[in-house]
Amino acid sequence: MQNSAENDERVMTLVRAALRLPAAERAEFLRVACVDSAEIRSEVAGIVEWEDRMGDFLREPLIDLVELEEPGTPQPFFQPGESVSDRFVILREVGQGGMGIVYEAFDRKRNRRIAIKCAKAGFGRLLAPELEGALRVRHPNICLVNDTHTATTEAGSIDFLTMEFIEGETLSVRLARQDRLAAEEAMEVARQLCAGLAAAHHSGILHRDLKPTNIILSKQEDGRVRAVITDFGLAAELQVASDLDGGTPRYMAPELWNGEKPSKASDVYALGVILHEMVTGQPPRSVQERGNNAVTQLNSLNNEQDKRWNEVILPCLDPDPAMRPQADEVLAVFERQSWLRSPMAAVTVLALLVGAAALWQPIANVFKPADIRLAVLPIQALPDLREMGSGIVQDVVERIQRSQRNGATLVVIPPSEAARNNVNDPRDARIVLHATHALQIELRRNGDRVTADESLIDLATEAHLRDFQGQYAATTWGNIPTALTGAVTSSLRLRQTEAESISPAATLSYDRGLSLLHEDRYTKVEAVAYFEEAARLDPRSPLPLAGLAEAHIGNFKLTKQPAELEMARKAVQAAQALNPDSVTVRLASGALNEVTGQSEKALEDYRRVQELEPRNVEAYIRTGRTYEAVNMPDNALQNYQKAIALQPEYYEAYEWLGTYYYYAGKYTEAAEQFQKAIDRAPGRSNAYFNLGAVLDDLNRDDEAVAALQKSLQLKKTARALNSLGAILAYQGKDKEAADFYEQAVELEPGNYKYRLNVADSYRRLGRRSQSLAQYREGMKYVLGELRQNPRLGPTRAFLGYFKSRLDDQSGAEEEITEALTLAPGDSNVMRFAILVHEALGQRKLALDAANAAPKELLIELKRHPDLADLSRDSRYLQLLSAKNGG
Amino acid sequence: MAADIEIKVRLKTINGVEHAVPDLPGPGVMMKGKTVRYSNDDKLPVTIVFVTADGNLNGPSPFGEPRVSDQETHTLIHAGQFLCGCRLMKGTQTIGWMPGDKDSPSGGVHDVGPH
Repeated sequence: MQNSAENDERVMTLVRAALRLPAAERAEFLRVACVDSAEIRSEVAGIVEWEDRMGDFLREPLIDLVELEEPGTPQPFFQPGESVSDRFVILREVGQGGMGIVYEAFDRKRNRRIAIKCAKAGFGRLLAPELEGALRVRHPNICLVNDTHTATTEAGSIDFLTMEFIEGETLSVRLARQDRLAAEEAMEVARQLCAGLAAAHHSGILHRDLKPTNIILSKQEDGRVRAVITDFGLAAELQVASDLDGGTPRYMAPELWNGEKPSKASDVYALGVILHEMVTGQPPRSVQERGNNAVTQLNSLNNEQDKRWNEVILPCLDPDPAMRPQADEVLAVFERQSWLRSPMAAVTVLALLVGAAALWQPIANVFKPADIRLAVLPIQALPDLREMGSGIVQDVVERIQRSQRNGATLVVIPPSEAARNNVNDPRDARIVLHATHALQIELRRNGDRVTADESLIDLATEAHLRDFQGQYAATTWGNIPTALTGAVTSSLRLRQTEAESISPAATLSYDRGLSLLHEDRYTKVEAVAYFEEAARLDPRSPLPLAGLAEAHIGNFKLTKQPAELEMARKAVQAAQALNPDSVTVRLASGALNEVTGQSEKALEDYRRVQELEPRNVEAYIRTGRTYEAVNMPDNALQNYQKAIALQPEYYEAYEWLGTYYYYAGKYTEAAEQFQKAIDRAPGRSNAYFNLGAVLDDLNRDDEAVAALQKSLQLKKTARALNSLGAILAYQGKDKEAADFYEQAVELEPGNYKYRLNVADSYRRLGRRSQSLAQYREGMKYVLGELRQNPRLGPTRAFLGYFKSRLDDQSGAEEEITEALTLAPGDSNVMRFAILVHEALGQRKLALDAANAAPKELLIELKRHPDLADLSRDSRYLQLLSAKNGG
Repeated sequence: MAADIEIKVRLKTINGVEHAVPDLPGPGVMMKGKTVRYSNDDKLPVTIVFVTADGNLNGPSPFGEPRVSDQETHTLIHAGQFLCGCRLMKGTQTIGWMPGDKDSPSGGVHDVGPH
């Protein structure tokens, strides 16, 4: 007989459990849970009913309830499109629970989609236990909690968590749909769940509410299932007593019903119930009957395969918590799944389960020959650097050993082994150590700096796969192992396991820089100072340097000043010296290669990012952009579509896809994509500008003006002013148009497009000398851009146009021909081909060019003030009619 | 019309990249006043652009034109050494020299003697 205090505790446990259930399920739950005591059942039912009427008064602290109900208190909900903490863009609300709200967001700093979880008003304190535990657990089968943050809102400061965003369905949804999992999948999911739970238990963390709704089944890049345990909302550190009781009745171990505290064993019991449901489609009989009866056999057994599950699952369901296996013991069984399939091996499995699981070794790999045997040769360094060098090489060896390689094995032969065998050069490494690759490292003093040289050699061909050199001041010596490892992982396509990081001191500046970098094309100038400051505060992190490079590249695109590119180059080189295989550094390197016309190298950078982070949307967007630049539109389209598929609620890929359609002359499709970008990020000026520009080309002037004015309301930009000017110019109002164009030129003097437009308006207004001056100035900037990247087809088309207006006929023809070769499908190139030939009085060539253009472009050009004569030409009208289908 | 000199431009893959490589004759073959024709064995359209040493368009041309094709026979009107870039059209794809390319296999020197 339990005493009064124990009874009270049991009653309150049951009350909390019942209140978590839907109202319709509570009676049945209490019938089962209180099968031994009608008195307790009646008491619990009474409290639950009273709780319902009082609106959870007892369950939550009074002060919080008052705050929640106070009239006028704003709810701290974030809005889609809102930027939080200068870093996270809210994409959508995913769902609300009793206490918290979950949003899908985009983390600009890490360029990835994440989940944000914050407490509803009045529930802030309830997140604390989750943080204490979950932040300590890092495992692929546990939903990764990145960090805690604080945002300032109208409702005051809000603490929130950022977590990995996982796409997929819960195990409960899956089981509701298909009753049970197929044997192979069940085995894999079980193994992963055990792995995740074992990792949590090793960290001293209990889940306390493990159940199918807290398990997400998603897909890995290779199509294999990934099972992730989520929601540590009820988790608490083992060592810390907590008042939060947890658990969902069906998965609650028998001892919890008697008021005992949750334990690792109670988590294992829940795991057992889940595995039982996965395999049989039903809960174990003990759960159905609710009592302390032992489960002796899984339900619905009908073949040998199921029977072998008995050996694994039944011990987990033992009524005595002391008799249940540890999670890692269960894991050891699943790690040997091929043994599990064999009836003969079942006995061995059981033995392992109860005893020797810790001795398990990955036997499957022991006898498989390594695909790469990398011999790290003894370091070459003068005596004063030898000791430091040995430490560095040992660190490099360990880092390479920790790196991962898909589908192949890697053996690293350390320098001590090479020295023991008197191996000091690559040839001996091949002959004596049977190595496939050799790594030579040399350290030299260079004034107050240390120079590290590294060569990675393919011993079959003796080709140097990578020759890396970096120079390091005393403040960055610590980076040498990272950098040398990065050069190896990059060349051998290994995955480093270390996350990129930046010191807390530099984080604020870095985050501000990132926010400005992503805000729009005009804010990159401001970003430079923040990245420089972050680089000063954390000279060991390559992240600020990569950001600095991206900012300078953005500034170059805006100003066309070669000095910006030079600074970008230096920043990329400095970042590469710290870690050449960092995702962020590869993205910056790719951007630099893109803007300097080294498209193949850019693609190599972006492909590497995709290897390292297969879900990195930015890499796909940039790959698409690069394919566009090399006139491979189908590949570009595929990459944009992939980016959208990865993050359908993120605006940026829609903007790029819209731009792709725009330059393909598909204005309707472009407008559709730009509208989608606006829907997802309504606060961005650029989104409205894009829409306005394409609506203008669709001759929807009123809508275009409205969109552009909205863009200007959000931010006064040269591009929006220029587009408004273009609308007026098409309406024959060159005087008014020139006013807008002049403002655009004033804001962005290096933009040759705006200079071209203002020059055109001046010419039509008869202001010849002003017009010629603007054409000359515009051409100067075009030539500057082409010096950096001579392969830009559309830029060559602009050059052709400038030359035609400056009476250089042969130069104009040559540039247009070249532009059509480099970018034959680009609508701007086609537009200028028509304009140039018409300006040169070459009507037939103009018509030939028009023949290759899409009908949307021809419709738009009908209104172009310089093509009035052409658009009345019967051949042009016939062409248009033919493109319209007759 | 047959030309004095036939120059084949071949599609070759070098280090994984396709190039348009011309079989340019050595010194003493191309002379001012002779005619030249370019072609490709697979009938891919050929374009020859004359380029500057730093990889820009509009370099000096022995024909007086910055760009010639396989459509016609061309007469050498200037003597000297002329750097060219070669291109083949494979479907809609242009293969070969691109602006900025220096020392590309898709090109070479037209060494034209005075007589």
